[in-house]
Amino acid sequence: MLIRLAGKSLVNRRGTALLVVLSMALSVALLLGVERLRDQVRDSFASTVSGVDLIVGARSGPLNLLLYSVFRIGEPTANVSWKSVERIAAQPQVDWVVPLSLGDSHRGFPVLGTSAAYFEHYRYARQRSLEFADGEPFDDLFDAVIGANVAQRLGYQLGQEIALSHGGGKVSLIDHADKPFRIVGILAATGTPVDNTVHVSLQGIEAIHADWLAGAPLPGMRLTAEQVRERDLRPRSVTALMVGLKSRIAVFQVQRSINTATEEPLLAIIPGVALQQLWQMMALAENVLALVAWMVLLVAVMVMLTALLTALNERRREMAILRAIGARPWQIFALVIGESLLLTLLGVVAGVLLLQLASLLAAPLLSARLGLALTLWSPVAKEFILIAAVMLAGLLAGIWPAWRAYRQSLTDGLGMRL
Amino acid sequence: MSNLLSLQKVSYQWPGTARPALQIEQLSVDEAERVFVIGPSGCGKTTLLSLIAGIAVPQAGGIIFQGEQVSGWRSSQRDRVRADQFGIIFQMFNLLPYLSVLDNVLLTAQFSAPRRRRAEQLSGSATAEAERLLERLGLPVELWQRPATALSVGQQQRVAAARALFGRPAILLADEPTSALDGEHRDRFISLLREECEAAGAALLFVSHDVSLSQHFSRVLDLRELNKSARADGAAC
Ligand SMILES: Nc1ncnc2c1ncn2[C@@H]1O[C@H](COP(=O)(O)OP(=O)(O)OP(=O)(O)O)[C@@H](O)[C@H]1O
Ligand SMILES: [Mg+2]
Repeated sequence: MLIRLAGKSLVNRRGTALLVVLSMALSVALLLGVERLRDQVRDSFASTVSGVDLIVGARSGPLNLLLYSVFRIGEPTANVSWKSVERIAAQPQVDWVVPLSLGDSHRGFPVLGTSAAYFEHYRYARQRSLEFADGEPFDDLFDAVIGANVAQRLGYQLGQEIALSHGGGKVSLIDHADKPFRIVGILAATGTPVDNTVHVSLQGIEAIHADWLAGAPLPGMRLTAEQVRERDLRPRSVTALMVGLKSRIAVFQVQRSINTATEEPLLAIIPGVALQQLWQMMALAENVLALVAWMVLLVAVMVMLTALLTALNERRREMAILRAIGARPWQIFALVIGESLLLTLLGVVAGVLLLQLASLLAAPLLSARLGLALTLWSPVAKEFILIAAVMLAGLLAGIWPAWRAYRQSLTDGLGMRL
Repeated sequence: MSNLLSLQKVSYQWPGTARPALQIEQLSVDEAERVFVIGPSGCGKTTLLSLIAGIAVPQAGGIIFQGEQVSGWRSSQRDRVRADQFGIIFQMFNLLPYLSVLDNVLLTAQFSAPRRRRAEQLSGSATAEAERLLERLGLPVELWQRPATALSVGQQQRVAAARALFGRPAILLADEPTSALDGEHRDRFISLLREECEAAGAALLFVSHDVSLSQHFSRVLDLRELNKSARADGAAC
């Protein structure tokens, strides 16, 4: 009965109530959104490099190496010579190596030159291996395997021929159109950058650059696709390589041996450690975001407090009427605190819906840009704790006006003081 | 007629004020009696009603209602007595703006089970009793579902009277309920109130500063004489 009265009274003041709920919803969406973004970005980054013990590249920063080799963010500074690749592969502790050769693209999607071992050893999301939705790994020189996003967004099917372009841009000035690749495999979606990648063999990469020198076609020297097959297509260098060890215990030892090798200045990183560094770097930004979110909650709570206190003056008459009819002072108290709880609850519900909507809109964007998958509703304990904190804030904000209403109902008597 | 309510040596001072607003040696109201209390503004009329309704508690003296010393009771018990046995009409703005006319009358039943039962015994259901009262007080049926704010002041006061009368309270307290009405409406309203109190067997305690209203009542009390606090001070009232 009291709840019905509170509800009707609130509906009567729906204008302000709506604003309060809206500001509450925004703060809840922001608060949960920051947490969700933090967790999910971490999750999807971490799940992209599962099962790789070391990543090796030219000597630069560990973060730089991690970002360009795995996430296709940024540019490599230098390459790793094929000799070094062979030397690392020959180390007794090393189980497998997967070379990565980057730099070309197809209609904005990065092209990755690699070996067939990639499909065997690459792992994502806690040890899941790549699966083919259609077709099989590349075999011929001009075979290509495309990620799920590439296939879906460009509408590609098996057997279709595609031309690779030089450089990473969407609109490339120079094409390798004379040497088209045939799609032989389409990978199942992984929610990682793999989905956005066109995979070809290392030899394929060599082949399209065979008549090139220093990033430009050699004038007067054009090789046809048939002629190029006759050439020596052993790769001279790669961008980076992923290394799997027989036993993880050796990881630091192998890392040190690579980092201190005198033949070529190389850098070996442990993906988990580099990610940790990334999170540490991002922690500051995240904390600032979280702080802003809490501030917005504070503002929302103050908006509600203002609305409740203002309404209290209008509602003094309402309370006096209820008292005259027999309402108890605690019922007056409950009426006001109930309203603050109701407003907060509505704000939480609206905020969660708002966040779902935002995630729904952001998910395809994030997947297209970074290949990272955003899961929608992940009712983790942390979010419930945050929601509980918001409810508590709403409750606390209600106590003051409720107490004032309670005091007033005791001291006003039957006189309606305005 | 047996005694319904009496005040004995009651003194009351509002918190934060310098002197008592009310000091009454003796005042009593019989069952179904209709009493008019006259007093100028600030004389303590509303204070008197607050004490009788149990919303304020005298610092000294006692209030006896239906043979019980209610001024010594816990506030929750006094709230219960008020819900079950009192009907209160204010000067104006008696109704909750967000409820319909009918729901405003039924509000009484929501706070008092005994009154709901009495209403059901009288008319079969609480709603039927509310409708009967609204009809008796001259409110046409097409107004019943309208929001309370859509009514004229005079109509609102009649709805307030219907709510106060709902479920047969022992006494109606009316705090200048006609001060916003013009002459003709005022007299009609008081006549209606008297009739309905008579029909319901309820006592009526009507306070006002308007002498001309006293003609409607058999007993008229002057608060200036009753309230010792005011006289000693020699102030306005
Ligand atoms: N809730 C309150 N808190 C403090 N003082 C009050 C309160 N209500 C009334 N008073 C004081 O008590 C005295 C009597 O006031 P009361 O409202 O009872 O007068 P009244 O006769 O009803 O006047 P009016 O005809 O204007 O309604 C006044 O001096 C008033 O200032
Ligand atoms: Mg008054």
